[in-house]
Amino acid sequence: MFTPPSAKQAYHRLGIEVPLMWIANMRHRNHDLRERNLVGTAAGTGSVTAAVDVGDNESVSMRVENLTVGFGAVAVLREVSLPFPSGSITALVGPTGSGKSTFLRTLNRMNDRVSGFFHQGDVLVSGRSLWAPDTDVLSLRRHIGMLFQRPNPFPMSIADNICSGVRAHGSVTRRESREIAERRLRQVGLWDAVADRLGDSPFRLSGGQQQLLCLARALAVQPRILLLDEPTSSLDPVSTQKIEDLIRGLTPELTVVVVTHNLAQAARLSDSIAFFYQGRLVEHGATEQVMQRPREKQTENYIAGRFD
Amino acid sequence: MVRPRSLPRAPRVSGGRPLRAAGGAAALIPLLALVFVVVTLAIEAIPAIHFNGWGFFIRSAWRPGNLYGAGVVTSGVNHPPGASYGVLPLIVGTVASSAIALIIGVPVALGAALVIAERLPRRLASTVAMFLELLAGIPSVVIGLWGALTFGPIVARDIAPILADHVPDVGLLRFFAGPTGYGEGLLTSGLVLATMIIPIVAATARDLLTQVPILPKEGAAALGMTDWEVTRHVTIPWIRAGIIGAVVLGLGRALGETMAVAMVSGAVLGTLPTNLYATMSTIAATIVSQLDSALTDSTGFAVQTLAEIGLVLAVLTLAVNVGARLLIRRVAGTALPVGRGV
Repeated sequence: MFTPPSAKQAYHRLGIEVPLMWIANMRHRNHDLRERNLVGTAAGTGSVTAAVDVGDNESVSMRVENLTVGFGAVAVLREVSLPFPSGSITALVGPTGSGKSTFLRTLNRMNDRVSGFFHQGDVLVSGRSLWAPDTDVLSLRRHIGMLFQRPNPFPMSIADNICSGVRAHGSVTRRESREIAERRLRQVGLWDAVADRLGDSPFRLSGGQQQLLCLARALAVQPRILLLDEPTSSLDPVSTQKIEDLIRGLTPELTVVVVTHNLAQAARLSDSIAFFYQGRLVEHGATEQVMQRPREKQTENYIAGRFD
Repeated sequence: MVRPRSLPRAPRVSGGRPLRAAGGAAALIPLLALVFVVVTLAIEAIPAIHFNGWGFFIRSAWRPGNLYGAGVVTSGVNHPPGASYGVLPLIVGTVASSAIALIIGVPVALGAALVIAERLPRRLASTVAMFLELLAGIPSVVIGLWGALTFGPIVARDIAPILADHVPDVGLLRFFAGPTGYGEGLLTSGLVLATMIIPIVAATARDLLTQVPILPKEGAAALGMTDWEVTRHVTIPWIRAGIIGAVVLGLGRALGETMAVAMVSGAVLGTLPTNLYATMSTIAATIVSQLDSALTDSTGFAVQTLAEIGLVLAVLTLAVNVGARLLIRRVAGTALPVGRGV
C-alpha cells in the first residue's frame, strides 16, 4: 500500500533551508521592515495590517480551499478544503504521517521556510489569500500564533521570553514590557509561580510551566488565530488540563486549530473535528457527530482504535 | 601433594590496574609539564625579576648593555654594564595587535560561521567548512611570509594611506593618523593575526551553531521574527558561552603567535608604537627574535630577561582565560539550558 511520507521525512530528505528561499525572501524582508510599526503593546491593541484586515477584538475566520501541498515531487496533502469559522476550535486528528502537522504549518506559512515546498489551492484569512503578493509574512505570523509539540523557550529570562515577540514588532519600554509579562503570565496562570524570578532562566521551569510560558509568549503578540501542534503531547495530565482549559477560555476571541493524537482531547476541546488519512481530509464535522456517528468507514476505524 | 585447582577468578572490569595506571599517568603528564615549564621559567627569571624590578612594567627601554665588557654585580645580580630593560612596549604591542585581530576577525568569523551553518545548502557548507579548516592548518611561518611579501605592501599602499587620510584629527582618533610606514607594523600584524584566528573561531562557532535545536528557532520564526532576529535573539544567545570560548581560543592564539608577527611587526624594540601603522614587537616575537643575541650575553642576564617576559606572557594568557571563564559563568546564568526542560 502506498503511504505518503510524513512531513518529517520530507524535511529530512530535502534539507531544511535553501539559499534560493533566502534570496526570494529578501524582497519580503525589506517590505516587512516598512510594515513593522504595526504593534500591539500592553495597553494598546494590535493595529490593522496588510495581512489580516480586522478590527481590534474580533476573531478571524479562515478558509482552506482545495489545498494541495508537498515537498519536492511528493504531495503530502491533497485537495483539502476546510472552513475554520471565527472563534471556533477545530481539532485535526489522524494517524502519524496523515499530513495534519504539515497542514497546520502551512497555515502560518512556516513551510515556506522548507526547501522544495509547493502548494496549490489557497488559504483565505478573512477573505485574503495567505500567499497574496502584498502579504507581509512576518505580520501574518504575528496574527497567526503557534504552539509547538514541545515547549521551546528562548535562551533569555522569563520576562524577556514573553516580550520577545512584541519587541520584534516594535519598541517597548521597560515598564510596558513588565506589564506585558505580568498580564500574560497571569492569563496563563503562571504569575504566582514565577513572579519573584522573572529574570531567571526559563529552562529551570517544569515542562508544563515551560509550555504555559510559550503559550503566554504566543498570546503576547495578540494573535487572531492560534495553531497548536500537539501542544500537550509532552506534558503530564495536570498540565494538559491546564492548557486545555486555557485554550477553551481563549475562544471566541481567537480562532483555534489544534492537531492532536489524543481523541479524548479532541472530544473535550473542539467544536469540530477534521480527520486526515494519508494526506487527504476524510471527514469533517461537528465533534459530537464525528465521534459518535462517523460517516466514513476510515474515521470509524480510527476512532475505534483499529489503526494508527 | 595434590594442589587444589584454583577457583576461576572474577572477571576484571575494563582492564584493571595496568590500564588505570596508564590512564592516571596520561592525565598527570600534561599537568606536570605545565608545572615544569612554569617553574623552570620562573627559576630562570628570578635574577631578572630582582634586577628589573617593578619599573620593568613602565619602562620602554631595551638595552642589553655592553656585552663585551665584564659583568657588573648589582644587589647580587650579575648583568652587563648599562643593561636596562622594559616590557611596556611589548605588552602594548601584544595586546594591541591581538585587539585588532579580534575586532576584525571575530565579526568576520561569526558571519562566516552563520552563513555556513544557516544559509548554505548542506553540500556546499561542508566544502566551505573544509576549506576553513584547511586555512587553520596553514603553518604560521607561511602566513608570515605572505604577510611580509604580499599583504604588508598592500596594507602600506592601499589600506593605511586611505585610513590615515580620512580619519578626523580629534582625540584618540589621532592614533589612526600620521606616517603610514612600509607595511610592517601594528596594523599589518593585527590583520595577519586576524586571518589566523578567523578559521579557528569560525570552525568552533559553526560546530556550536549546528547544535542549536530547531524548535526554538521555529518558535521565534512563528512569532514573526525575521531571520536576523531569530539569529540575534535565539540562536546566538543559545551558544553565547561557547562563542566566548571560541573567541578566547582565538585570542589565545593571537597573544601567543610568534613567527608570523615576528615577520610583519617590524621587530622594533625600545619604543611604544606612535600610531596604528608604527613598527613594534610583541612578547612572543621578541623572544624568538632576541634569543640568539641574548645567548651572547656572557652574564646570562639577557636570557633571564627573556624568561621574565615569557613569564609575563604566560600570566597575561592565563589572566585572559580566567577572565573568560568568569564571563562565561556570568552570561550562562539565564542563557544556557540547564536543569530541567527540553
